[in-house]
Amino acid sequence: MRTKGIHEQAVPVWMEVIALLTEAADLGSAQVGRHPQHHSVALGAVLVAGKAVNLLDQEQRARLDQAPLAASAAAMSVPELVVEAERVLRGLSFDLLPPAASEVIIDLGDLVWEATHG
Amino acid sequence: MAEIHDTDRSRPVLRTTPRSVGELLREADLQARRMLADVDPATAPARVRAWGEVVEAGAQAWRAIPALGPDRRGVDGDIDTLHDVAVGVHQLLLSHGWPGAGAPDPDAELIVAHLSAAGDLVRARHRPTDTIRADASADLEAARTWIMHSVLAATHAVRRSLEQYQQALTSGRDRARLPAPVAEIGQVRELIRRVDTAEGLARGYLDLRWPATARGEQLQPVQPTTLESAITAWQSNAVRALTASPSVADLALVVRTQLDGAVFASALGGAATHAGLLTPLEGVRMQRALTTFEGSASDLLESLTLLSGRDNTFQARLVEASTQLRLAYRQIAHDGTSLASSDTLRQRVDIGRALTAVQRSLVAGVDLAWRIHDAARDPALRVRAQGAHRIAARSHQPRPSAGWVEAVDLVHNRLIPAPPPVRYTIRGLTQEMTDRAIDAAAASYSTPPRPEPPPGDGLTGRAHQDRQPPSTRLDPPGQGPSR
Repeated sequence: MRTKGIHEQAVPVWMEVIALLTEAADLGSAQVGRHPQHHSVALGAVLVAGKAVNLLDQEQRARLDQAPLAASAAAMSVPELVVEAERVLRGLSFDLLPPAASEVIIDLGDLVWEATHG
Repeated sequence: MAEIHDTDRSRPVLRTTPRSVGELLREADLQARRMLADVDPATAPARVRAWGEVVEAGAQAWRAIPALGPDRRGVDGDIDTLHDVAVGVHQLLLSHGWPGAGAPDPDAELIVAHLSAAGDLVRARHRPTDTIRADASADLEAARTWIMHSVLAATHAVRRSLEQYQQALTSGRDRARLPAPVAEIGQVRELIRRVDTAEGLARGYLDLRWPATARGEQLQPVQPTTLESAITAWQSNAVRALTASPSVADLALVVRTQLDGAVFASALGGAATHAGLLTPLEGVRMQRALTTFEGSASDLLESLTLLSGRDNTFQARLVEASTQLRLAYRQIAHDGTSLASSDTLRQRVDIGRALTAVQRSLVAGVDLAWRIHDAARDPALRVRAQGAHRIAARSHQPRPSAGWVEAVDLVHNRLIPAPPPVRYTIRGLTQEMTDRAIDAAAASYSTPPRPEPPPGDGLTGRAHQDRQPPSTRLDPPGQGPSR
């Protein structure tokens, strides 16, 4: 039985995915001079992150900035952050996600393909 | 037959009542050119007051003219963008309170009357659902070209009047002759730059068309490419989003998408240089201006992302248009996980046409930058408390004893109105990005070719020093308003 919103058990992972995508977006704009080829994926990351945030309620959104990010993320590039976000998301059971999460999952899969194959 | 005269001259403006759409449009154009012959600082307040109505009337007449097919997006994109700029200027006049209420310029009023009459005439004869004969396309294109030329001439006249006004403000004697209320010089400077954006857009449209289409010559019909459609859709949706109480996240998404456009423009500028459409010097100038723009957009984004945090939800129209534009850019400028080479770009698109689309998007980007600047100044804009606290902490402004952000808001990371140091920081960053957007738009156009020097007239070092520096105005090559 699929839930209407993100199941409470899945919220921390969902937030981590958002945090990784937001990190990718911010890194892409900060490094646009050095790695212009990554900016498109970075813009894609923030667009997917926006769809993921939409599935959280107001109280959860206010807590997003407190969601922890693994220390290893600091050394990752934009494509690596996107790949990591997809890897983290893959660990979630679909039963804990609402039907609307499908769009996020599909978009993130496409973005990973862009980041790794173009 | 009615005979209308100018207010202070006995010059007849309209000897007979025009009957056809063509006559009305030519009268509007003639009137706009007359404005150019009479540029005076004292006319600036009335002209700037009336300018929005000229653009509005032009846009309405334009939209009344039928399109050949059911899809009008490719037809109306240029006038819609220009109209958006005029709406932005109108909002600026209201917020500045200058020139305030008063009589509009009588020349501009006549242009409005002619354009409105032309639009009414078309609407009376054609329903939007009417089928238009394919061989009428030249007439339709001619009508749109005349409208755009009238708008360009009137816009150029308004800008020149504003420049004269700005100059008069710096002279005690001339300043005393200006009608009250007198504007602040900063207000006038901002108006000039915005009207300049509109002029650049109108010039860009006419570059490819004037005077051939105005004479009714048949040009090959041009179907908008995916890139052109995506750029047009982005501009109109971004403008609408920025006028619909945007959140900080919305502002950041607009800046990010513009930044992506700068990366694309840079790649395309390189290909245009290899193709000989830009000289190496012009290519370098464009790349440098875009790099500087990227730096300023990146700086602004750093602060905006602090203020929105990870709570990024966007207006749906922005998401859709940004997604389409990103994909259009990728299709052309990416090759695997790298940027495509100039040769690959040249195989994929008509570089000349793509460069034109990029130039126009950079000019329209100036308007978007102004709008971001305005939206960021909105006192109703709400920001995340923790990001606001971090930005305010860097401020040199003396901190109130209770801090700029209340502790309870900070703990719960609530959305709060931006504290003064945050507003000040964002205002500076958006102004900087706007200035760099203006530079990038100006640098994307090649400078007109200089006449060949006579044989044997080698340049000396001294002569080189005497040359005029290149213009930084948005002055694309091609046709200015006819005089």
